[in-house]
Formats: sequence, C-alpha cells, structure tokens
Amino acid sequence: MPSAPKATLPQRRLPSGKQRSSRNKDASTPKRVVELTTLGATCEQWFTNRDQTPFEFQRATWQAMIAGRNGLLHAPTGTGKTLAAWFGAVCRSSALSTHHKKTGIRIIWITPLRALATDTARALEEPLADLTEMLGSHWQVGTRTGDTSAADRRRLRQNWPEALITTPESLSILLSLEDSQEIFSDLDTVIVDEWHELLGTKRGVQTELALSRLRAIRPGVITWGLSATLANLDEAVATLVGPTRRDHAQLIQANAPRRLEFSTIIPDPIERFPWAGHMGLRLLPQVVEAIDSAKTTLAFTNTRSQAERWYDAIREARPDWKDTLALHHGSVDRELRNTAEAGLRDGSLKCVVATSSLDLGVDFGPVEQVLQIGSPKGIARILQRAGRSGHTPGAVGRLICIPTHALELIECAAARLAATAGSVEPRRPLTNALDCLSQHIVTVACSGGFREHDLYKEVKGTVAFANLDDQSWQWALDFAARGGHALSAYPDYCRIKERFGRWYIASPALARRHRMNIGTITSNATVEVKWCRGGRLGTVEESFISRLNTGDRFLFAGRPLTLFRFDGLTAWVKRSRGSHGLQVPRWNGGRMPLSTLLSAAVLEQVRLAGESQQDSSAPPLPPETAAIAPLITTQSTWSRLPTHDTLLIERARSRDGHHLFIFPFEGRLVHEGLAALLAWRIANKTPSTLTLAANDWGFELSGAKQLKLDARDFRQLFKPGQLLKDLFACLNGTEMAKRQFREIARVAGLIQGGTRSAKQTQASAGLIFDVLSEYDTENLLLEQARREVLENQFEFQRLSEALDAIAKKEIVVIDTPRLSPLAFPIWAEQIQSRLTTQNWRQRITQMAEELEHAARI
Amino acid sequence: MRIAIAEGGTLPTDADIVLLPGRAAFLPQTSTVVCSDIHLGKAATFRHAGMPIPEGSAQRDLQRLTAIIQTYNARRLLIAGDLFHARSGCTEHVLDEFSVFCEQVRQSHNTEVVLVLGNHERSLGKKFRPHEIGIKRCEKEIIEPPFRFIHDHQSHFDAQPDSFTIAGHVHPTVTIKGTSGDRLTCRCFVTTGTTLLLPAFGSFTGGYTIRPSNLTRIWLAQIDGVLPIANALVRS
Repeated sequence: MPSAPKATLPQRRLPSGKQRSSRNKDASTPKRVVELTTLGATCEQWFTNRDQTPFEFQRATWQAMIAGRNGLLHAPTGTGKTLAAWFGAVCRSSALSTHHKKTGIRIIWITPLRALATDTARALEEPLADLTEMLGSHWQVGTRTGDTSAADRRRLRQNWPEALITTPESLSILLSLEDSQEIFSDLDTVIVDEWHELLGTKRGVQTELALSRLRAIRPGVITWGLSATLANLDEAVATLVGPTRRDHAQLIQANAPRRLEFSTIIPDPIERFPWAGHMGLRLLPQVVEAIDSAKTTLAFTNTRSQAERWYDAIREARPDWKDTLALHHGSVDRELRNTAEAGLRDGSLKCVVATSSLDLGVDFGPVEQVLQIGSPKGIARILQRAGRSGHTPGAVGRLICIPTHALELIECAAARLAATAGSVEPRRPLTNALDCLSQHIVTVACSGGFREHDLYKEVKGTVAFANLDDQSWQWALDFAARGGHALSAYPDYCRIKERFGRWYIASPALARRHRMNIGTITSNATVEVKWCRGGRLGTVEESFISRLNTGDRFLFAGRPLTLFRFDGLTAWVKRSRGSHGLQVPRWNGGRMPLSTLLSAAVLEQVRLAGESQQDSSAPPLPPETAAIAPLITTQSTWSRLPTHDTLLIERARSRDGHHLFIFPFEGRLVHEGLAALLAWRIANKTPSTLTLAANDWGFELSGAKQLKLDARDFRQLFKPGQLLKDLFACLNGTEMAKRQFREIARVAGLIQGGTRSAKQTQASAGLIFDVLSEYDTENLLLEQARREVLENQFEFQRLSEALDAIAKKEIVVIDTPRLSPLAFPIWAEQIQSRLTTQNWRQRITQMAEELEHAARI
Repeated sequence: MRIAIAEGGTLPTDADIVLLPGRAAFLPQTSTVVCSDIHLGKAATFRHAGMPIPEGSAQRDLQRLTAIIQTYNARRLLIAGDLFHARSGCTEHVLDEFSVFCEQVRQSHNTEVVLVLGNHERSLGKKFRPHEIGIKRCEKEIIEPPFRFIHDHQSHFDAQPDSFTIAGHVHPTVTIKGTSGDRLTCRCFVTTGTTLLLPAFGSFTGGYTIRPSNLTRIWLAQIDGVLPIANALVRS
C-alpha cells in the first residue's frame, strides 16, 4: 500500500508524528470512487437486513448529502433523523475518500447537551460495523465535551477519530487550538443535532460563528441540521448554512407525523383561589394512578424544585416503588443521572421525574406515557415532550397535563388544542450579539491568528452578523485587543496583538485562560453536595446553602438530607429521617414565559368561558375550561372578565400595601416591560418606590402608598409617545439592564466563570456594571445589555404594538374588595423588579414604618 | 465605648469613635481617620488577567479620602489593611497615584499615613516598599489603648481582652427589606461591645452579607451619610 498521495503543498508534521497530505486532497484524483447508487444501496440493504424499509425522507436526506448539498432535516422526535443524517455523512465521506490511510476528523456531530454525547455515540456506533466494508476501514466515533477528562482529551489529540461528537462550547475550544487548521483539514460534514434548541440563543450564535470558521478552514464542508417542531424553517435553514447558501440548501420534511394524544387531569372540585403552585400536590392520587396504569412513565416538571417535591411525594405515596422511581435534573450528579437513564432504557424503572434535562436525546423505547406537571408554556414544548413516549412500533405518543393551579387548566386546554391543530411557535435567531463576536475574535486569534479583512468577511457571512456595520466590527476588534476606548490609556492591558498584518493572542497564558472561559452559558455560583462518607450527590446554588445552618434539613437529589458542614466549596451532608418540614433548594434558572401564540389562545378560552355563561346555546367548552367555571363566575362578580377590546385594571389593598393589577394578556416578557414603563412614568410624577411582578396574564405594581389613578390617568400613562426614551430611562431605574449584563460580561470575558481559584480577580457583574456605567459610558456592552433587555426581554416590537392595541381598548378600572381570582396568582409571584425615585434615606424610613405597622397588627 | 455619627461635617462632642459619611471613622482623641479595604489597583489586576476593566474608581476613592482628611483636619490616617489589591495590580501608575496622595495630605494637613498590613499586602512581595511611597507600616496590629487596630479581627496576635478592636477585612453589607417589597443592600459598620468592623472603603470591592446577632449594632455606611438601623429591619 503506498503512503499518502502526492500533495502539492508542503507536508506538515502532525503531533503524533504521522505524515498526512494537506488540504487540497479534493483536487487530487480519488483512488476509490464508489458509485453514488451503490452507496444508497448499502444504506437500503442495512434496513432490509433488519426487515425495515427506510422512510422517504431518510432516502432523500442521504441522497442530498452524497450529492454534497447543505440542508436541514425537519422531522418529529423519534422518527429516525439521526440514522438518516449519519448514513448520509458516512456515504459522503466514503465517496470522497482518497486514501485508505487513517486521516483527521471527517464528521463533526454537534449536540446541544453534553449529557447526550454518550448516547449519541452509542447510536452512531451501532450501524458502523455493517458499514465497515463501504468505508474501507473501521471507523472510530469519539466524544469531546466539557465532561471529557484531561487524559481522554490528550488521547483524542494524538489520534482524532473519524467522527467526533461535541458541543458548541467544545467545538469553539477546538477551534482555538493552534493546530485547528490541521485538525479540521479533512472535514467533510458537520451535523448540528437538535438545531431548534440552539436557534434563537447565544449558543446558536456561537455555533453559527464556529460553522463559518469551519467553512473557511475547509471550503468543501457541508452542513446539515436536524430539527423537530419548528415554525420558521426558512430562517432556520438560512441561519444554519449562511444566508448566501440558503438558495442551494435543501429542506427535507418528514411527512410521517407521529400520532400523539393529549389529555388533562381535571381536579374536582376547583378551589376558588388559584394560588400559584398551591394546588401543587393535590393531584397526587391521580398522578400515582396514572403512573400505575402504564409500564413506564416520564414525568416532566418545569423547575428543578418542583421535580424534587414531586419525586418525594410520589415516593411517600408508594413506598413499594422505592427501587423503580428515579429523579433526573441538571443539578443531580452525573452518575445518578446515568443510572436513571439506563433504567429508562432497559425498562426497569416505573417512573422518572425529570426537568427539561430529558427533553432531548436518544429515545427511550419503554416509555409509554409522558406527564406534564404544570403548564406546558409553549406548543413546541408540549409536542417535544409528548414525542418522548410511545416508541415501540405501532404505539401512540401520550401526554397527560397535570395543572398545578387552577388557571393552568386554561393554559393546558389552550396548549392541547393548539398542539392538536398543529400550530407551533417560531424561534428567531439572535443578531449582532457583540459579546459572542468579541469572544470569537479572541478564539480565532488563539488558533494561529487572522487577517482582519478575512475574519470580517467570514463573520458577515452569518445570519447573526450579516448586518454588522464597520463601526461595530471595529469596536469589537478594539475591545478584544485593548478593552475598548476607556482602556486605551492602559498599556498593561492587551489580549490580542497585530504582527505583520495578522492578529495573534498576546500570550499563551491568555490563550489558556480564554479556553477555560469559552461559552455563553452563565450559571450562579454553585456548591457541591457530598455525603460525609464520600460520594457526590450534585450541586445546589451557593445562595441557597449559605442560608442554611448546620443541622438544617433539606431535600435534594430525591433524598432528605441534614447539613453537616459547609466549608464554602462543599456542603457535607448526612441522611435525614422523615421528610416533613424539609426545605427545597431553588435554582434561579430561566423561567419559561408563555409563548405569544399560547397567550392568545388562553385569552380566547377566557372569552369562550365568559360567553358560555351569558349564552347557554354557545358551543360546549373544552373540559378543562368548563371545570373552572366557578372561578370565572367569581371573577365576573367581583370584577370583570378581560376581553379582546377592554383593558381590565383592578385596584386592591392588602396587608402588604396597595396594588394595581393590569391584564393585557401579552405574555410575561411584554408585561415586564409594560410594568417597568408604567412604574417609571408614575414614580416620575411623585417620588415613590414600586415593586413589579408579572405573569403571562398580566402584571402588578404595588407600593406602600395608594396610587390615586383613574381611567383617564391610565390612558395618559399608556401613551406610546417617547416610548424608547422612557424605556431607556426606566432601565436605568431598575435592575434589569444590570441583570442582563451578567451574561454579556461573562461571554465578553469581563468576568470569569466557574472556578473559585482566581480569588484576586473575582468581582460580581453588578459591580463591573457600576464601574463601566460611571467610567466607560460608551462601552458597547452596556449598550448591548440595554438593547437585549429591550429586544429580547421586553420584545420591544411587541411592546410597542401592545401599547397601540391598548390605545384602542376601553380601559376599565375596578376596585376589588379582595384580590380577584386573576389577580391572586400575580400577587403570589415572586417580585421581579423594583423601581425607585426616592433616595436611600426615604426608602429606609419607609421600610421602618412598614415594619412598625406590621408589628402593631 | 461611646460611638456617634457625624452629621453635616460637624463632630459630636464627647464621643470616642465618630462614624463618618463616606465609609470611614474618626477618633477625636488622637485626631485619626480610620478606614480599610481600599483595594487600590484592583482594576489593574483584572486587566493584567485579561479582563478589560477601566480604572477611575481608585482615583475617585483617593479624592474622597483627601476630602475626609480635610473636613476633620486629621493628623493621622490609619488604614486597617488591604490598601493594595494584588501584586499584578501594583503598577507604576497605581503606586505613583498613591504617593502623590500621601505627599498631598502631608503637605496640606501634616497628616501621617499608617498601614496595618492586611492579607492582600502579604502577597505583594518585594515590589511593595511602603517607605518609598511615604507610609509607615505595621506588620500585625497597632495597640494604642483603649484601641487595637488590626486587619482581621478574628486573628489573635497579642490578645488584649480589654481593648476595643477596630478591624476591616470582612467588607460587611446588610440587606434591608420592607413588607411592601422594597429591598436595599448597603455596606455597613458593625459594632459590638468590643469591636468595630469597618466597611470596605474602595468603590470597586464586593461585600459579604452579615447576619446580625443580638449583640451587634448595624450602621448603614453610604457615601453621603451614616444611619443606625434596628436589627429587626435586617433580613438574612
């Protein structure tokens, strides 16, 4: 066998000492060209050997891939997307194969969750044995994620597998390596799994930038995305392959939808007050019954705390399920999660209580039904979760909604009806995220440098930065190099340097530090929970554990625990007896807002419910909505029902102050924006401190003093005039921009995540925000924080549309004797923000008065 | 120990310790301003580590300190540790700025600057030569009955049971919550029968939330004022 074919470029030496041809091997004559039809036939044969026939979309996918096209495969969960894309990629590589010698990475498989990497590797390896002949050699599948040990990473670097499964973060790290050009010089195909999960997030932007980099290193590479339940497919394709390649990219859709069934457990009777989360465990008997009736159940909750509570309650209710019940969420130790996943796979578990940690991934055959505890919050989400069940041939995916407070019944009805009707929310890609760009610039500088013009062109080729102007680019480059305008006076600060027209990282130490901080995920400081006798349980947030005293009992990883000792890094725990009076940790994860599509459907349900009360000949209501009729009656007696053409405002008094409840039904994000705007306009007239809370139905402003406002005043307050100016002003008055800045600062490298080792360089993002606001007002990252709050958090476009809509509505102001059924859940929400136009002395005096007042009662 | 607060630049009579607006304390008997945890050069430390933080706050902090010395005509400035943040942040610029400050207060008010070493100074190494920038330094603590000045009140060098300890290091803060949802986090002085914990003076410094006990008294320390508050207002 001759060694590598002749190369026209000088040969480079690999770290392992192997000789390998350089980049232009496409140009050299292939030694072995396999007929395309033969390749397709091999795939067909694989299915035939298993008494199966491939779906049409699977055939279409591998044919398009062999033909060298880019594209997106859109098919419901569990229909065989993975196999289709994998066969396509393998066929393409074998068609391009020019020599039998082992080469570099041929296929990159990007997965959004590192927990999925192992499962994906298993799924990809399985058919490989049968494909060996076609490939000419046995292929290796490797994984490189944040979980990969240092030893394994070293081993990988010495001998890259043909197919590498990785996450966006780990891919960026690979791109920052000095020999990244060589690592990827044999790349044929990149596959992005679960693209819908990444789209619309900063990780998506990071992926876009990485893909554009890969295309620059290896122009012939093709990109394929796999996605389920997505509305804006065109945008999804363009974002994946780059806007200029959109026209030639292929969109393949499976027309074999899986059959899914949705139902809701309706509690009886409905309590009058829909405490948020208070109905909580009331449906436990019905849930236990549902679990009992199926072989294997996957029970999803919306938060980790809820998962802990429900797991504990189910275990209490059925001690005999002790060994067949498991808990799975992102903070539980990986070992424990692996056990739960293995149990789901082999069917030895009766039920697993999980959070979105199990939303994605390789399917678990034995799962017969899915429970959704709490509102599903979105239609795509309910479809995704339902798709996790019923994977045995001929089975139907089943999802049962379990409302946790009465109003969620309406949300369940709306989601169920919309999912059945097949409408799904779009996910819009983010644009001009300068923090991601600044990180990417340093990443590329680490990997052997770049020419400014080349990188600019590369970056402009993504949807995220297609509209990037020259000025912002210069700013981002300057920021990466010298920290921006305010730092120009400090020669001690320099991250990247220009030499002979190329930009390089300033020192190897900075490159190392940069690699440690690559990524866009911010997390709060966490503390490891360990048994006193050894063994890890997982992590909880520091803010929770630091509130506990030694001997306090809490629930974590499904176990009642007693805190034995907390040394700042580790919480040492012992098992505790009995599970009454346990505290449950809270994790400040993102709370899911009700999607726009779903909020509209919810208001429609409220309208229908009101209509059927007036008119007995109205069409029958869905059972969920019918069940809360008593609540609707109370609402309409004490106050009014909101409709499409009135804006309902309720004024109420409680022990903790005076409240205004306003119900625009525009979704939580818009409500947060409206609340901030209104609070700012009110507090601007009379100095006051207001607290803001919002849910998906409406928002609340409350304060210690009565707000004397009537319908005419509200009309003035909701005027769209000077909206942008007022919003910017109220952003400074609230903590919102500061909160958003945390994420931006982390991505842009202003603060370092995770490790507690670098003590001398620890500062909170809030502190840095204050320093920048005072001494570097032109810092674009501050600007970005405000813009992100406006666009992403408040959905500025929707906000201004909402104000226009309100202007056309009749404003109805009603004093309610008590909190109305609609107001109650908002009141029970956590306070989201504060806005003040008082100085600190006035605020303290006020708080002292309140305290005295409370003590007198 | 009689502790009082200064209002509007006037000193109360017959107090042993006066808590000043701007996060410092004044001892009338010895005409001494005490503060701690200025953390000069913290921003430079960050820049050295590749994080782009502008300076600015340090200069403003030194200006505030000059103003305090001027207002109370202090003969001595005593810094209870952590004047400098870290070795990598002790740049020429930062050291120069501080020596200019020392020179200024010496000339205008004949003020002497004394530093009790804190944990951060221990990591400075040879780069740190206090006499060159015009300050008197003290390794562990200064005992000056009835006071004892130290950086970390929990380290017992020459434990003097009857002395009143004035210390820094903790960067104490408290969070105050009202019943209608307002909440405010502030730096504070913390006093007990035998100690005074000073708030961090530097603007670019973090805080540690303390939990008051029955024996402690909390005084909010803002730039523009000091306010004693009831422990019941503080929520942990």
